[in-house]
Amino acid sequence: MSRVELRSVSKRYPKADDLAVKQISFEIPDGELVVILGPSGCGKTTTLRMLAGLEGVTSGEILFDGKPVQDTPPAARNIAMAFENYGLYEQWDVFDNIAYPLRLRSVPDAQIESSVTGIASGLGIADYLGQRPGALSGGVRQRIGLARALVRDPSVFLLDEPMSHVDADGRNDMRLEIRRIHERTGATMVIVTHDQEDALMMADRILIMNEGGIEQYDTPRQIYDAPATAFVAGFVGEPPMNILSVSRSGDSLDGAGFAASIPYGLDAALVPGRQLVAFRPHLTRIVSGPAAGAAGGLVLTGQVYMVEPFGERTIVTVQVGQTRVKVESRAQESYDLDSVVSLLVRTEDLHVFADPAGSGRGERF
Amino acid sequence: MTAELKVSELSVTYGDVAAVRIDELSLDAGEFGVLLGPSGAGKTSSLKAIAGLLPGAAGAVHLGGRDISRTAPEERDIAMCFESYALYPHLTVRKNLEFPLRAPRRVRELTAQERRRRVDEVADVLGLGQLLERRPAQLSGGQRQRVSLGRALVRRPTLLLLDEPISHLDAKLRNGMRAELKRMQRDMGVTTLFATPDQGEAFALGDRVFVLDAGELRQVGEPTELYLRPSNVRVAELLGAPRINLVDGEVRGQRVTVLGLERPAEGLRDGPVLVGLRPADLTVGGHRELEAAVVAVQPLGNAAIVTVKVSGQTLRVLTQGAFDEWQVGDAVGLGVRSGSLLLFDPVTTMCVKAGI
Repeated sequence: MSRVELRSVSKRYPKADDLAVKQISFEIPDGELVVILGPSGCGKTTTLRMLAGLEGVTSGEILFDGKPVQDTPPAARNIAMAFENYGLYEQWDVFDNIAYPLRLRSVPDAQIESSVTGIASGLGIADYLGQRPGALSGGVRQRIGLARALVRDPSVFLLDEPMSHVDADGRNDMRLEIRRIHERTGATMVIVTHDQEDALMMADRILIMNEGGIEQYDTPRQIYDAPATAFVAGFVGEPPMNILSVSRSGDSLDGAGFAASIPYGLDAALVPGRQLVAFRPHLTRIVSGPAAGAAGGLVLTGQVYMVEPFGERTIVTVQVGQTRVKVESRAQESYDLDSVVSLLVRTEDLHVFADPAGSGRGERF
Repeated sequence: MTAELKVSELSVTYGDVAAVRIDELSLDAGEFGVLLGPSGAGKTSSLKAIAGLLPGAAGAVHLGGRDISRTAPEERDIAMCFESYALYPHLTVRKNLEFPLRAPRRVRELTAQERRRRVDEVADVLGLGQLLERRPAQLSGGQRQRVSLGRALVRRPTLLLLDEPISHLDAKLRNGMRAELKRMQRDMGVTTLFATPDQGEAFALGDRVFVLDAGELRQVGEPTELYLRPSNVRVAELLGAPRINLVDGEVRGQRVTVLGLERPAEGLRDGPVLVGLRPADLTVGGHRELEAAVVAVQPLGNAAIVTVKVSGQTLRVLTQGAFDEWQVGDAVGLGVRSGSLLLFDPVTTMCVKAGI
């Protein structure tokens, strides 16, 4: 088992202008499951590959249990890794694929049998053990890769988008299974994903990355309830938080193509000039027709851009000036496209972020 | 220019495996159809067959009344967007997007300026404006997927086939692009068939949903219809995440008993019945009809998936609210929303009653 630490780690790819990873530092206590979450291109996979030793670090240190490993080859780091692209041996059957790491270490056959069948059952692929991977679907192949990584007993498990090709339902089962394996082995696990549900469900802590840097490193609860930056607020949650760029002038908040009265009680949280106001779609009320008077919260008027009925919930996208705001409700409602509607968010459900550069990427006050 | 699609007797075989067998699949002009099915169901094969990309496929394809079953793929005026992007690695994003407009048979249709404008328009909608001079190798997976989608859209085809075009994007991008895609399709009015394994996505986008499983269509209908009245157990299983709970029940004297609950079941004969309970129609906490024990809790933000055991059966509940409320081992009340039960015949698996 291992404590993992990164100190000021940076990565620049050859001939690139920018750093793919910009001097990041964080620590993972022994036995914790950390999910690195971020949009495509944020540097999360690069970070994982540096942990594995598949990419060198441009500067900084990586330590396992206090020992620097950034110059240690992957095979000597005692890690197990599962990739998004599986990396399976096509000429062997599924059983042999999963058993391979154990055979390499001369584990006795009886133990191989029980470990492999155990992991395969847990991941729902026991039926395929006698088949070759080539004929199997992407989702199953991905689970085979995962099984092969999880069947060992390494210091650290590194999983790169381990479920990206698995269906929603299988995904849920696999999240549970990965958590169970984590609890059973007590291993330190680092999982990379762009799926924020994966992160919320599996992580002890989530490391949110964006543009090569760390936005927030905290428990799922904290990240959901108290996003540190507007980026985190807008990235976590399904659908993500609505974020409005506004300028405070006198009694009103002016945005791109819209204006709203400052809600009662919000005054203290606002500053003069530009800032970002954010709120969750499921905490936004929507009614037909234009706004009629103040109502103890933020009131916006807009036109219906699109209605998406999901079954047990509906997401209505409303065009407010030049911004699109999403509203989630449990009811089966319907609104005519382009009809006028008003939105209401209670003051206590509003988050305010500074936005000094006007970039839309604020820091929380 | 939009047209109706009519596919009949479509069959795709790989060796001796019948991968797809669809009797009929039709879309009205301008309709947004969704082909919903799990991985391996035959969605990609079906789309490729319609596009004319599978020489071994059999069946008839009519677009706008025209029989294109034996027309070469490039002559069918169908644009297809693949799950694996298929971008030209040596061309910039702009040139990739422009490529279909420069095909020899099409290059004289638009001036260079019009081509540029089309590309800018599509790039704007898909958020690719800053990336137009990059090459695919310098793009992330999600960015590549958007370019792939743009390349299909730029042609304004008569039929648009989309094979899981936004599935690999992060939630924020996917959410944004889904509404955009739907609006774009509405504004462009192009007949579209969109394949996805995600039921939520299928419902959000589709005018009509075609449920595909093991190569065959199980049910076709409007999303709400499918959700409230799935025709059989398999369709009910494919719709909804987390998966629907299926529990044994008994009908006696036109009443159904399940897990200690009782509901009226008019018109049904006595005998065993399979009862479907959707996780979203169950509630935990407080005083409820049933007593359950918490087995697992998976937090989700403003909701949680709570697995409970009741009367020896394991059920998943999708709850609203704070996710640190329940611990494994807690005894909780379990409620079932009225009107949410689905009853299936255990032998034929057909739905015999809904909405009780």
